[in-house]
Amino acid sequence: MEKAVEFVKINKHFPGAHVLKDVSFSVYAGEVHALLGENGAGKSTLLNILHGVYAEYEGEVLLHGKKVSFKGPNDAIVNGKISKVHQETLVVKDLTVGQNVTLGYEPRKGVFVDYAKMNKDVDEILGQLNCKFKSSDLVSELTAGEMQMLAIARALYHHSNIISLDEPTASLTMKETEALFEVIQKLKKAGVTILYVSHRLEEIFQICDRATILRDGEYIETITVAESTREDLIHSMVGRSVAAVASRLKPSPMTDEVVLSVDKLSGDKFSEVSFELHKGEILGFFGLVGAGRTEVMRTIIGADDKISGKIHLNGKEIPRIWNTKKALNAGIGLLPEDRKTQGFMNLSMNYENVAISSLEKYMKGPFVNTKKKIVNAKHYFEEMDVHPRRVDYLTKNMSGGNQQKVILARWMSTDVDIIIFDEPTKGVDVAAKAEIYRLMEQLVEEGKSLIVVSSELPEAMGISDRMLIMCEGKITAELSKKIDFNEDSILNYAIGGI
Amino acid sequence: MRKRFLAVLLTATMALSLAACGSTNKTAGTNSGSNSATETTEDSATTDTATAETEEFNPDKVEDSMTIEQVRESLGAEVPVADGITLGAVAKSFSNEFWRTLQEGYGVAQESAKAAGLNLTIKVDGTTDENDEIGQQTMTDNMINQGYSALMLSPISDSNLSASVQNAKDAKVPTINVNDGLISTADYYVGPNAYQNGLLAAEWISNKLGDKGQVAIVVGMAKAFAARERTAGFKDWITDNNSGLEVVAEQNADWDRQKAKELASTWIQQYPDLKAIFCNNDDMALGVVEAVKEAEADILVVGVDGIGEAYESIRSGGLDATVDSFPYYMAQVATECTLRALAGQEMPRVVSTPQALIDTTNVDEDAANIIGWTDTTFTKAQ
Amino acid sequence: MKNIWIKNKRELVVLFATIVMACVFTALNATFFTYNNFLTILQQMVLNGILAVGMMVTIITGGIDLSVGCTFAITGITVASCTVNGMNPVLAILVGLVIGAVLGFFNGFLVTNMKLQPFIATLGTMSLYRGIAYVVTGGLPVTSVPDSYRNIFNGKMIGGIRYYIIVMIVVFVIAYILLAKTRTGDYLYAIGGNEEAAKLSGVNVNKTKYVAYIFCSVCAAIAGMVMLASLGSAEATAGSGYETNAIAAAAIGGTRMAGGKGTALGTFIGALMLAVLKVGMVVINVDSFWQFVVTGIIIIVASYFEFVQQDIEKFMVRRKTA
Repeated sequence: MEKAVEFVKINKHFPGAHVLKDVSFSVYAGEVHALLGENGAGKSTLLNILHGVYAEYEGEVLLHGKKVSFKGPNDAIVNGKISKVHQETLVVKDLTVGQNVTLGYEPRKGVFVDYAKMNKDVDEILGQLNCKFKSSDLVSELTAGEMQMLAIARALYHHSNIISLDEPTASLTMKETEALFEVIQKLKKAGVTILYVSHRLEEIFQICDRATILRDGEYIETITVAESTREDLIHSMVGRSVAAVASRLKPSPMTDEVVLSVDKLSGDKFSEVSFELHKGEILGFFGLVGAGRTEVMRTIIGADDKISGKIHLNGKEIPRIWNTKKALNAGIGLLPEDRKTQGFMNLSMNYENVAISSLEKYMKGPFVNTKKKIVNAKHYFEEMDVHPRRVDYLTKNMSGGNQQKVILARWMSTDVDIIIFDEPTKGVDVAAKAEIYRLMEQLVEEGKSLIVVSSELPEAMGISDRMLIMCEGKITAELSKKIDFNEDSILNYAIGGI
Repeated sequence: MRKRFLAVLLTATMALSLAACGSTNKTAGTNSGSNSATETTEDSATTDTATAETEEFNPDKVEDSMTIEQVRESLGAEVPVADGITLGAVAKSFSNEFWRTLQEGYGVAQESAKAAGLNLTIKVDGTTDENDEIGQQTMTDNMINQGYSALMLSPISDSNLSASVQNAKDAKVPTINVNDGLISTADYYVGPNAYQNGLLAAEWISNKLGDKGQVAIVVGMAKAFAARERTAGFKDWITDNNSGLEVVAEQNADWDRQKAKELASTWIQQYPDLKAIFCNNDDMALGVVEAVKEAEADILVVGVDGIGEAYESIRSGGLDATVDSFPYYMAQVATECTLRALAGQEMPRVVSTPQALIDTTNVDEDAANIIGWTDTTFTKAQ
Repeated sequence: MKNIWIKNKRELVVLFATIVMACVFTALNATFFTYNNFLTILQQMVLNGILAVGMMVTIITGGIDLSVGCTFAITGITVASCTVNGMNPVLAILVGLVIGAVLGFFNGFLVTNMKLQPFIATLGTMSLYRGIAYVVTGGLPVTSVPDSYRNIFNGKMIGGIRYYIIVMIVVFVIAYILLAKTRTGDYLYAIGGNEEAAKLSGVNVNKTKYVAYIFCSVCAAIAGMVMLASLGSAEATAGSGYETNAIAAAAIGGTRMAGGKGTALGTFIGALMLAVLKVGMVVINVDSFWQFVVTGIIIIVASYFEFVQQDIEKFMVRRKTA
């Protein structure tokens, strides 16, 4: 079989770190090849080398048997016919779909852009991808899934025969994911080689032919997916056995005491939401992307304004002027969905990111004491097993799971007793996922109460004591007993059926 | 990475060597500057004014320029005014005292014409700030469109009103350039002789110092005609008279008081023998006065413009002298010249307005007295 | 030694560049290297330094304050009128500080409650405050400020050091403490690093921004009062264009224009560098036109310090691993 991509003894160093060690393997033409590994295993670095983002590395990359070295990502796209669809799709929101797809390589008529040809060409590609939107639509009106399609259209516009997809389904709805998989199958039939990176193992089994596993920068093995089990893959990735699905290991310490009650709360994207949270409970909030769950949570902690309704914390109604600072003082905090844009301060080190919500604890006289912050962060890094255990690293350089732990450490450093997790395991690898579930159990054990917003049904079902299901801004069901959790009926509620 | 470090180092060195070049160039530049100035004087002695005009218009160097006294002598003291004349005047920002005083002068001219039973209107407009070049142009065009009889213009730069002047010519509206910037295409220029400004200051300093010692010059923003001419006049006086004064430093302070003060402080450190500082305007001179006071140095400070604050400072022993160009009278002279031109009199291209050096000896004297001013005599045109 | 390097990389690089520059000037004209000239440099960095440190605090939050030059002018005029009309100088200074705080509060109101972009909001107040200054004075300068006021800032102590140099140092020390030692300081950096994340971490973003804009305007007010003491008069036109120099000093000192980074020490050295450059060029008698060119080049080169600093770091890492 023809080898579309061949890595030969790839080594890559960053200052103080050896991130890829002698990695060699091949990808066959026309296959869907998964690249698996925990965060920090070196998958992104390898893709960046393949796509010309990093020019400095040791070893060789062969495309269709020929050695290549690209000057940059654009060089790779145009001359190498090789494209990458990013984890977070990079688009210019104020331009049209067509302008984004052709950006930098617009069809021209003299010095002017030939918009007629642009729209015709792009619409043709969008047609192949079964897209409902048109080239002339504005990107700002697209959903996350449609933007993913846009990125693929861009790859096809440049006639790419090798396409990498980095966590393409992370923010897609189920329908969008299905549509994406159809497209992948179609591309495969057309002879396009696909490199696929995802943490969702079920997807690997659904669409991939073979999978290469990396661990700590080393090549572990390449397997044929059809001949392996889920457990094999996890073992190979983590190096030990880990519980593959979310589950509770300890009995729930849930009590009848109501710590948070929300009464007919309405906001911009939701209306008349009512529920109660009990002390020691993990309350699951399931729904499709865009159901309004995040907005409800943001309103509760004072990040957004409410339109109407009442919120009681520990029996007391919240004051009219409500903001995140007051919410923090009243004992409630949120771990946001998008860590990069909402979770941590990009220029701050880990210990600073941990300390920001509880500065009053690190005072020495009238001044904030850095040493105390460091001691506190070290304590939690130890307790939560954060890797690397360096409180003086920039948080933005940590892997997704460890960033999540840094932010969790922030809230554990405060005295809050209600913690809201919004998509706590998005972009987090299997091993870290299991640790986060364990930490949640530990928190409720300590008497705290949690709300977990999740779009992953197995996670929501596995971790929750009780579950609320939201659809289009309204709560459509409450399932108060674990035995009532049933995949089909939950999905039905989530899409608005009865 | 070492390459980049080197590149940065190289660029920095380049910048500093530029600085060094700049400094050597500068001495060369000043020399050639004064040379060319003397050359121009020689040229204008031999060539006629018409050619000088086509080259570069410089009112200070125009041979047949007249003072208002000379004008009155040659054309008669009486100014005939037709009925119902409306004059437009465009000045710069009235936040500046100089232009406010000019505005006042226009007002006086209008009132005295009315007192003589004439129906004369002068409409004065000023820009919001000293950089509003386009705003000034709009103002001027507006006056042309409203059919004013003539325009008295004090443009912000040498070029921002040239298009408007062309419009005025097309509409057959005479234009009178009052004070700088210069519009070479305007029909007449009425304003102080800036070059003479510098001469007066240099002469006064020379007298006070017994014609020897180090002097320095604080110049205004270099695009301004006045700054160039005042400085040139000052330096030429020294060269032409083989004076013992020595110009040791010359720097720009953007007409800004604080910047001038800082500049002077540096000089006082650097030239312990500095005896006098000439500033292109009073604002900067008043800043320099503060630097001199702080250093407790014995240095003469001379400014130009004659603003109220400068007078006060001279009275209280701060500033030593200023060359006043009397905008109050400048406006009246400009109005008179404009009306004479409208009456069809044969006016010279350039009329230089009165100016005088003010120091402790004459600071309390009446301005009209110092320059020997007599009011315009208006009569009804036949 | 290594610790000092790690904590103050940027500051040390700029300081080194400043020293190199001073050496060049001394080589070209020996009078540059004298105690008195050193004092001159310090004196000439005072206004820009005080304005820059306030500016830096707003930039750290990801904002900017373009109105500082106008706040500077308004304060100068008001304090001048107060003292000329016989108000106690100390009381007049208090009035000046209050004016700074009020103008800063208004800037803060626009960027927080009104949710305006800081650039636009302060561009507006820049014109607004300047206009107020003109209206209040009718364009007339306020002169003859009594010595009792002027001596508070302008008086000399041992070594010929003027009090306003001490005032500047105090302002810098306060800024240092605010940024490096207080909770508000941490909040300021957090907002600049990621405003949304700071908000969701329970930081009172609006309150913290108010602190930044008020601090900035109070600094501008102090600078205005120093200028008043130094010149003995105040004008509505004072301080125009000063905001750009303040931004330059902060940027040279390592303040990140997008927010989240910047130190009082860095800005101090940035302002010092500009003053050395300014005085140096006068001392070696650089032509005025060339001064603009050279200043521009130096500012551009200084923005490369970021890379130089990274290069030195990489170099040190390599040596350690080799």
